[in-house]
Amino acid sequence: MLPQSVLSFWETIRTGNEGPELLLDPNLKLWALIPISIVMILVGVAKQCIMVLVSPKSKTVPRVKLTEILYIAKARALMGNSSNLSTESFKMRQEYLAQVLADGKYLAIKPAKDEKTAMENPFTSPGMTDAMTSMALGNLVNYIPQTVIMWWVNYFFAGFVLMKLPFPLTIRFKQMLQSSVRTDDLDVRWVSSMSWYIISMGGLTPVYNVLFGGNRLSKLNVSAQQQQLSQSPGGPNPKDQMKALANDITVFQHISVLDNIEDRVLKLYS
Amino acid sequence: MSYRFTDLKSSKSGSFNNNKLLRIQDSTMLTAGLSAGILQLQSFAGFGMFFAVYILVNLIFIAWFCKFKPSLYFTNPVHKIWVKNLFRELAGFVMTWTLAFTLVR
Amino acid sequence: MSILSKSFYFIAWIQIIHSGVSSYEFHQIVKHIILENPDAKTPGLPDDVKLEALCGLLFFILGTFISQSKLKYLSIRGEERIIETDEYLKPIELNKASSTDVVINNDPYGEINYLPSFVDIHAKRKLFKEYLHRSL
Repeated sequence: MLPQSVLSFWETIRTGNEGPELLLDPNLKLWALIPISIVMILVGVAKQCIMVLVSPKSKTVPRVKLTEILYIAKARALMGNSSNLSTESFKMRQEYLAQVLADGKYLAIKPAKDEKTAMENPFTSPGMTDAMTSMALGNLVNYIPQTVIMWWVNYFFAGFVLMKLPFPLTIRFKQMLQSSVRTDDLDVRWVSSMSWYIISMGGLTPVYNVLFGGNRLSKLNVSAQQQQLSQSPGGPNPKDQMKALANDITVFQHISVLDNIEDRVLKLYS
Repeated sequence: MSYRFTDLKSSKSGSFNNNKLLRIQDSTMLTAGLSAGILQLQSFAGFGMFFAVYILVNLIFIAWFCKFKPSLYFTNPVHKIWVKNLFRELAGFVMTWTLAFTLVR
Repeated sequence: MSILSKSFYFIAWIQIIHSGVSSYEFHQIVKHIILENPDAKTPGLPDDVKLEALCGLLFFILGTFISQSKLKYLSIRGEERIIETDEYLKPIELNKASSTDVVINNDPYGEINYLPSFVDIHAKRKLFKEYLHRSL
């Protein structure tokens, strides 16, 4: 009795409750599956080449702005890595930086700018248009081919059941995957070609990596330095940042790795 | 107390190691999908094969390349080797699984 | 990519393609059986086809691992030879990973450190003067 139920349970697990089989035209696979895959792979290749061509060239930042950004970064680095310094070194740096930041000595002064403007207009400031156009172009290059191919698949490959999925799904997916088939009772596992497009979308990233990985053309060269040097458009005012950092540095509790080091070394070797 | 000098990791080595691991995982899981489709495996059996091959490939990687010490080569070995690429490999496996399943049937 | 790994890949692909074609033929036959007699009990995939597919997968995995080569370095001083390490992956600790940079005296931040405003010109002049005195 027990082995029988276990066997049938195993059968259901193995086959996933398949219903009656449909017999499909073998030409369907040849003329629908493979062309969609080929087109998607080729469009992906073209997309990567285009990304390389329109990728943002290295941005230039005016020197005063750089000084301001780097002083803020230096204060943050000091607080983060302070345990590597001795107490005297830290105190020297702490006093100098606190004074410089509180004075706002290295602030980049904007000529004749109203103090009350909350955020810079993204379209007029020169540094940010580059960032925005590159972001917009990147998004565009990513989404236009997706939309175009989706329309193409729906137009040419609609209206028939293409294949049977190896795994079962819930009924919610029926609307998405069987978009052009008008029967209500068909098992969710029989899908139209839109589902092949959706499955391919996810599965093509490893394929691109295997085909083009290690090819320097396909990696977007955004160096970490460039990312660091461009300020986020919505970030807080550098003046406020400097004041806040001056405060933080003044009240910082410094613990050095060199405190009690003799005891620890002796303990290690005793 | 954080001894910061001992926590410094080279990011160039990190990305080199991650790319190697990713390349191995990608190619093996895509082929595993082909085999699953050829064997006409269905739902649970198919996912079982995915997990079996994924675990096998990662164990061989840890044993052979990392010499059983993955923390020497990866910053957060459990996450980097097992978790980070799981869904990406799952998507690749499902794609080749469906492809082979349909072509062979 | 040695000859061994290429042969592993070759064998793996041959096996997978062959098992795929065999499986396809088998399922065509099964379809004919079902068409004639819908209630017949269909045979399962023959064991050798299953084994061939799995074997191909195994060869492919082994080929992937074997195709990765150990890290090699070229010697800087003395005679030119290739130093072969025993490692496939680069070490992640910064003090071990920068050992090649230390040996060849390469500064990864050299773009900034060798700018004229950062170079201590007086120290360099002193070093050069001492070198001249020694070699004279």
